[in-house]
Amino acid sequence: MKNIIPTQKLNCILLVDDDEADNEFHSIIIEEAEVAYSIKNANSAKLGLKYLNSIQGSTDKFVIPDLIFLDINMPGMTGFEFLQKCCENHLLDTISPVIIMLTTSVNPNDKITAEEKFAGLVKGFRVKPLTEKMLDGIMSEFFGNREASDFSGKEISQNLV
Amino acid sequence: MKSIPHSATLSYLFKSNYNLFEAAASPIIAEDLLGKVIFVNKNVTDILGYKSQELIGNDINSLMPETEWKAVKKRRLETSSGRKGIYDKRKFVTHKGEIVEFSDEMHPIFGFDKETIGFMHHLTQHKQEDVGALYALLESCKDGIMLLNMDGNILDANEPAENLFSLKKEEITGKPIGHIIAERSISRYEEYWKRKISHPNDLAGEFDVELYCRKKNGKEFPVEVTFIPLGDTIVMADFRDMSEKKQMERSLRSSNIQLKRFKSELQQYTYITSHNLREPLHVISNYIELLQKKYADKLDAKALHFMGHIVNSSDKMNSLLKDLLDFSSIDVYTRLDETDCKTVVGEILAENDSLLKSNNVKVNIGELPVITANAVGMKKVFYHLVNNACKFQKEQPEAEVAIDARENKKDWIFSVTDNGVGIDEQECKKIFLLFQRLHATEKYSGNGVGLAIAKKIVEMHGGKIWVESELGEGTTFYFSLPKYIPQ
Repeated sequence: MKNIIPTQKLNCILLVDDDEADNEFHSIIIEEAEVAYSIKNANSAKLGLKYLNSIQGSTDKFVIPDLIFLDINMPGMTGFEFLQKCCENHLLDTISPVIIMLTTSVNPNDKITAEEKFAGLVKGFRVKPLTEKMLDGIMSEFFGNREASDFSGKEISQNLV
Repeated sequence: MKSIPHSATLSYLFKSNYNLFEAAASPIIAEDLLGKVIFVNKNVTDILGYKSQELIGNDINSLMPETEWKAVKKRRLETSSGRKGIYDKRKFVTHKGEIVEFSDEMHPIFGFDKETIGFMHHLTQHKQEDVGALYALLESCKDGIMLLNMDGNILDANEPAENLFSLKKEEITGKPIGHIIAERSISRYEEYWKRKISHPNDLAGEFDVELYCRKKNGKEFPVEVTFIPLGDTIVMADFRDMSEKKQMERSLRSSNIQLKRFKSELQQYTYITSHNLREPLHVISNYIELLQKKYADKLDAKALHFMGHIVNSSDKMNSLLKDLLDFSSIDVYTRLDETDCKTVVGEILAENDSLLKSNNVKVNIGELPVITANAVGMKKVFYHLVNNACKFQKEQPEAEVAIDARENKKDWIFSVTDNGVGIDEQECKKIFLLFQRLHATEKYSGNGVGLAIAKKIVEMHGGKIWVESELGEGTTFYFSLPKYIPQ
């Protein structure tokens, strides 16, 4: 299959995107790439926040996201407002996940916002749809030296409610 | 010259009217045709510090600095050829050698045979502080300023005026102001001058006049001029260079034309894009539908689920494109008619009866006026506001929407109030943006176009739209429409 070695497999990836079809598609790509033990789909920024709140202090490492794919343009709460709330409530302090903005098109202003307000937090921008190649790149760029996890179960993609 | 025999006559004239001239409030000097002083009144002797017998019989030039001599000589010729009451700025020298400045109104004196036998200088001394203030003003002013006499002859000019016309004041003093006005503006200047000078208190008509003037090299340029009479002897002419303004007007005009072109191009672009994108989209949805129908039994649940996503997305795109098309075609609602808002709102409620009934919405309509507006546009505004009010309702037995209007001096303020879910204060700014949706939940459908359309139409009418809301209590949308809209 692909040249990803099992030691690099992530415990959990969180997808935050209001487009249900996009979220599902991205889950499928991640599942097939076999890069994570669990995938959490949040269909709104609010659900994403709720999830991050719920896992604070959890001892189950397979619920704690190593990587978050975050859409920007979402009704109700945008990706940046989501990040703002995360910072205000210290939701990422102990988790410190890699955050990648995953959007339909990259607006230069969004890049500026990310650099000015969330420098260090937002690690990159990717244009939808997520592909295996993109995932490979992200894995080798940010997760080159991870320790192996002792998870033996099947990959689980879960829709958050 | 026949001046000598006339001197006696002249002298006699003044002596016989001695008391009259002596009592005059202003300094008066009379000279004969040779320029010999024949008469001075007490004012003159007081100011200049001479006794009258020290002056009588002397050359009047001896009372003036040499620089004045030529001008006086020239003025004598003009005065005797019939131009009466010409004012000049004239310097005299006192006994102590100080310079005193007068405004000099020169009149010819006629003998018994109606021939000019001498000249009378009717002097007006400007108070020192007045003159000082005037000169300080002249020198400190950034506008080009010239002082003119009542005939429109230039007496003085400040430095900005010299720069404006690219000449030195020595080159123009004594010349009529027409000298620096371009041919094409002469009649306009004359008309303005006449109005300002002969009826200085008549405030009708424009305060300033725009003229084309000429620089020394003949180059014409636009100025704005104001003539301000200062007392009875001097007119201040204030020149402001309009070259830059004219240039800006020109560039503004051309920018405007360009802007209009861009706008129409953009409109066309949006229309064509949304129109053309819909065609391939229809093909996609048609064939997916066909797949679903004909092969449903051959496909597994997962495949059908995926196809569901395709159908939903193409439906969504179709409705987005339709809304975009609607939004871009608002600009056609420009014709203004007498529009009865009561009728407009009535029509909307009738057309959306089923929506209102299914959402259990009760609508209260206040007194709505007849206004000048685009009827189709107004209908869209009310439709989107009512639709919005119906959509964002709480779980409650009866939703209420109130439509009302209030009359102000210059505009109408309309309001659409609901008792729905309300909007967070922070979100209030965003809601009028195109494709902006505040709610993620499926409960509230829509693409976020309605309020953007309402805003665009209201603003096209010169009005404003805004919202006041309390979360959980309800929302009121307001929009203002000016009573008089320029076509």
